[in-house]
Amino acid sequence: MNSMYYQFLKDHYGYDGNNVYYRGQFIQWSSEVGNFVDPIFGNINGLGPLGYYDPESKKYYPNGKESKPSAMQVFELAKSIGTSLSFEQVGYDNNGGLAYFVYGPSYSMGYLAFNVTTNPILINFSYFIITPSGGGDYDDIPLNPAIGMGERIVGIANSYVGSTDYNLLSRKDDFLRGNPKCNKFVYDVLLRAGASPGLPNQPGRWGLSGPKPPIASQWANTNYSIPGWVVVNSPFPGDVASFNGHVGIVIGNGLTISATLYDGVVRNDWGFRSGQTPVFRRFVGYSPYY
Amino acid sequence: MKQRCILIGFIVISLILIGFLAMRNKNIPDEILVGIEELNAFESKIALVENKIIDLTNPNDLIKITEFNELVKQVSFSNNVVYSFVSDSNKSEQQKRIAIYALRDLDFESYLNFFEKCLLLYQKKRLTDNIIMTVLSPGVNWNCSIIQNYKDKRVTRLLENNIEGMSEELKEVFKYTLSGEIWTSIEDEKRWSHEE
Repeated sequence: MNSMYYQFLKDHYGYDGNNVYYRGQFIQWSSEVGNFVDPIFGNINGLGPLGYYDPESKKYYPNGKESKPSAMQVFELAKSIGTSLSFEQVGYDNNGGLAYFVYGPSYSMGYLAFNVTTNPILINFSYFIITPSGGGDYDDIPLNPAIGMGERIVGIANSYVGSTDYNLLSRKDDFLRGNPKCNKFVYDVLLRAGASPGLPNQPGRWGLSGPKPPIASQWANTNYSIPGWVVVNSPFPGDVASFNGHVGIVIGNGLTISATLYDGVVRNDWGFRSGQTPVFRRFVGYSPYY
Repeated sequence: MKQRCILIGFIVISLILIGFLAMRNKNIPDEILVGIEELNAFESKIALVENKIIDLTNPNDLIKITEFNELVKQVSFSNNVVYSFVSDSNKSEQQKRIAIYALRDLDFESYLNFFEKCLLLYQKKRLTDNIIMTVLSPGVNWNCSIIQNYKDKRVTRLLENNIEGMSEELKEVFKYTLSGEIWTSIEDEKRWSHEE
């Protein structure tokens, strides 16, 4: 099977360290459901909120039909098939494409994927697998990683080019004058895009007001876990590139946008120059399992 | 008559030559003149480094350049040639910053002396805020001896004596240096870098 890996809901899902966002909306915690709840699709955190699957007609309805089983039920159906394989066919999408349940090492890490050609649907966080078959007309789930979150991150990063707010001698929020801010720039862009990496670093005396974003060397450390972000080999627009104590955002065509010490936010080929071997990370959506 | 003409001609040529040399060195204070050959060699190497680094998007990339590391060795015992270089108003900010980064292995005493001389140039409006900042706090991989020794009386005295003449931005940085906050942030960064 020729499988291709795409990212989960990169256009829709975000986490800023405190709140979960989905489709640009803040997701409320529901004590009734015992999970985060999307106002349209329901349960989101554990098993996924997307659409409905009709086991009788073996069709999947991404926009939801109240009379149909929920994604939760599809998941339960998939689970009943077995848990040992990496993925299992569980049905068909409404264009005849095969639908798969993709298993992780435990029940809670299972992923559900529908392998329509043009608009694959994933019901859970992380990757899905797609094989060529069928067709699709699902209108709000991006297939191509070039659109969605990556584009959003690039668009936001571009809007900062020329800004001196992140210069060494500038003050930016709780980053004081004299404090390097390339990581702060990346964090601010990702936060606005809904792809926040969280705030893992507790401050010393410098910058008393709160925890700090990942620093460049943490982005570059492949053993260091950044929630929602995975290390990838090939850079793509919207990825984060980090190398040798500096961090920036990949915008494509061998270019990055990053905040320099004295020359403002710049767009150039840093990260792709001769001898540079940056670590690239890509947003795949927040999951408690990362 | 002929001898007088030759004498006058000699005097005129000498005056022109002296004037030329004076113009050439007008931007370099007399007390820190270094050998022209040494300065020229330094300038050439800075140009080579600048050509390779392209820009200072990430100054840490300098460490991977062979010629830069040669510069570091060249100036590891004396700051004079770097001072001559940064004093020259014809040099770009980027070139001056590369020269300052080359002082990464200079000992604390010499680096403090360099900083003091730079502060004098700053007071004469011959150095910018960014250059002073580069000397004082070049970053975690560079010569942080001044901010590390923020409790040293010579550092304290130097910063306190100069703080009034600084821009508002540098005043703030001087305060953070004196309080030890900048050094703490560098220690934080080192610690976070090693945490997985």
